[in-house]
Amino acid sequence: MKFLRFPMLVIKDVLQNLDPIDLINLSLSSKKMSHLISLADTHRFRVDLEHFLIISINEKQYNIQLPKNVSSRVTVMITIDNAWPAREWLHIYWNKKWTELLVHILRVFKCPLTTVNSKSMPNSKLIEAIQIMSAEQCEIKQMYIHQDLQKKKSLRNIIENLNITERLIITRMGKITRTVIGGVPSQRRDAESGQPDSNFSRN
Amino acid sequence: MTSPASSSEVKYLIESSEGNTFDVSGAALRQSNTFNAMFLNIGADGPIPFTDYNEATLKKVFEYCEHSVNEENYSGPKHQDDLSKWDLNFFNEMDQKMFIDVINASNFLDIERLTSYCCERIARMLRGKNTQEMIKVITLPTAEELEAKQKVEEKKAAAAKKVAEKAAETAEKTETLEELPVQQLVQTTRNKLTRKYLSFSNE
Repeated sequence: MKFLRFPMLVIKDVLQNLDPIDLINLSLSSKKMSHLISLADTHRFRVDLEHFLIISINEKQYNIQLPKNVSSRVTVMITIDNAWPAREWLHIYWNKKWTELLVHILRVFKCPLTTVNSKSMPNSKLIEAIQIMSAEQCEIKQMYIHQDLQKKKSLRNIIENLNITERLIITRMGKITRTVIGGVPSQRRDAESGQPDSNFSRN
Repeated sequence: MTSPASSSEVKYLIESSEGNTFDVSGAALRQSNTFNAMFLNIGADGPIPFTDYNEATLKKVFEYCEHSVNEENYSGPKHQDDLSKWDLNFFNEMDQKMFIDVINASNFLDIERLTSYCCERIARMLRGKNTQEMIKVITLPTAEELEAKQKVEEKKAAAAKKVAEKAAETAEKTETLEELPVQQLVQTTRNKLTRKYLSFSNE
């Protein structure tokens, strides 16, 4: 069956019937095919980078593991409404670094990274991600950075090099050195709970 | 027999690529948006030509239409598991060539339900497979085949370049001959003639 010879509407209909993981595997089959993947309305996918790379569509989440070492395949766990344990396990047949997979997914789906949240990510992985995202100028809608990272990487560098289009939230964990009785309540609360103290919004 | 009437009992004659005609009920034909747009209101004098498709394919497509006349209105694609026994038999009876022809005809006739079921069936063939298996299903050229094809194309290009170069050389030669001044040409021909004459007289 020569799939690429079908009318465009048929190709689109078939692609819309596939889930994101099948689309990623299909995109690896040829260059021409990878250009067609966005016909599946992939812009409606939400792509988040946290402890996993999460692609969400409706109530389903495809949690893609970020392996340390390069192997022949990457494991994906499917959850519904973020309820663990995973309902199903799938695989993406990818034999390069996970950061390259991230860029490939964003390119093929033609969608931005909806959020990057450093809270549940190891610093080494976040730095790897930041490096590739600034090199490829991937669009990031929202980014949450926590204090640990700020120690290792210059904050200014991150803000200048990344393509953050909506919001950058930086959270600094406060240390209580002394208690001021009758101080400004909001400041006290922020210091105690480690709430975000900076909120940059861009349009 | 053709008629512009919208009664479901009216039969329309359909002409296939072989030039054969067969009749289809108006109710079945009305599932085709292409037919609705072209003939429903104005009617047709003589058989309706769908000459891009053979008789077997058209009969199969209209068999589906006749069957689904009494089904409830189409409300989006059904999952393959929800298909009726008749639907499953209908698809299972077809070989791959017929299946492809039916998809193309159904897409041309814009029969939403049938096209959608066919696409869902192709998607089912791809689901859960790795890239290599997907390539086999949809017959995409592999990387090696693409490389071989590229080599052949390169060879062809090189051969074409050689031919072009030769043509350019000969064109240059003729141009230089044409560019010679008239007097010089006269002189050279005279010299040739005298040489010939001398050799002739010596003999």
